[in-house]
Amino acid sequence: MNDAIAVFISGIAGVACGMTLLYASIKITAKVTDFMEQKKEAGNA
Amino acid sequence: MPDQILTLYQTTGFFYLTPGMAVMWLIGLTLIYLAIAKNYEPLLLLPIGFGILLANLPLSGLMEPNEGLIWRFYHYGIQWEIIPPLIFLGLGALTDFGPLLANPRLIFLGAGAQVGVYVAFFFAQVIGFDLSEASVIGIIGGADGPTTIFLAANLSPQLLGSCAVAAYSYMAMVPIIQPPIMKLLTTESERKIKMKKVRKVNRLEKLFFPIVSALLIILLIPASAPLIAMFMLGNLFREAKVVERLTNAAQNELMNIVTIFLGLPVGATMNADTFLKSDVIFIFILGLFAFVISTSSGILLAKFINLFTKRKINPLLGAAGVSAVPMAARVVHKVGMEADKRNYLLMYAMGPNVAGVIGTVIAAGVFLTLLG
Repeated sequence: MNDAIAVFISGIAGVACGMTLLYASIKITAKVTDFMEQKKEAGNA
Repeated sequence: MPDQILTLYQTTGFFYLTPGMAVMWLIGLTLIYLAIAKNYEPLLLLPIGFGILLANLPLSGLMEPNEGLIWRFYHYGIQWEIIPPLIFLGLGALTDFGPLLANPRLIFLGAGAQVGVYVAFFFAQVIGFDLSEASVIGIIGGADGPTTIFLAANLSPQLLGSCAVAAYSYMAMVPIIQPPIMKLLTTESERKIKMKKVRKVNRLEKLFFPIVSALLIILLIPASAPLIAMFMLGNLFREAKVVERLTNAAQNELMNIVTIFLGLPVGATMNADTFLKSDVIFIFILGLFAFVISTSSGILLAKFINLFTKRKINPLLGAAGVSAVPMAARVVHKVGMEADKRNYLLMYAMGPNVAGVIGTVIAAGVFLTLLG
């Protein structure tokens, strides 16, 4: 039973952690690529 | 002369037929019927149904270890972990992450829908399944067939057939199972919530996403590497737009070929001796339970997020957090339209839907890490 509880908690924590990391990476990527696009447009202008 | 006839008779499969095999034929024929007549996941249920028939023909030797034809498909394709990752390559090439990238907070609905996986795991363990078996039963709640097969092949091969059939059956029944839960857990006004227009996603973001997410997820949960690596490679093919031939091959020819070699051996693992047990009934009940909890937890998480944000999420989107792509997203759209004919939720629902695929793979990776 203790093993099951450990797997249960680790599992929920693992998924939450993985998805949060992914969320953060999407946000950072969006900021970086927006900045790159703006620079490119400024360069073209 | 009669002795010779008897000897001849004993060389045929008819002599060795058992009532259990006849029952399995009925199950196989039912799946074939559902695939052809009702169009329930025909790409998988048709070869699985035929595989069940073949596995229950005495003396055919098709699943004879080291010799049988279908055993070779099973051993080299599934046990060697080749076919499920190849399916994921095709899925990646078919997946547009745009809706998720445009509205990244919806990723948490894909995570919330994994709660059912772990709740069902816990209950399965309580009623007597060992930890490995319980994990494979729990993953049915993710409604992701290839991941279920991948995990079962690694942790509990004896449950592979029954869990795969349960997963694909519930995926096919998404339009039947989910709407009552969605209506029960949401009010009419919640179902009418219109999602705000989201920002445009630039091409660079779409290009970066498969690379960055593959690196992060594999670093965090290395056991998920076979599935995530192929999934993101397929998506990179798609978004790079310079390898159209590879993208098309992954989406079509390769996907179709591996689907054949997935369904047939999965069905063939279901012989009367291993399938006709009381455990199988529990697997189907727990699988359904997992699926119901996953749908519910996604919806409830959306409602919970709404308590703290100004930009409200239509809680129906939480139901799309299960991985049945794109069926669950379509069901969300349909139920949303029933509440308000001008409420177009399909594009928004694709966000949690594809996040659910990633969430289920992570959940499977955690199980593999802890129990493999």
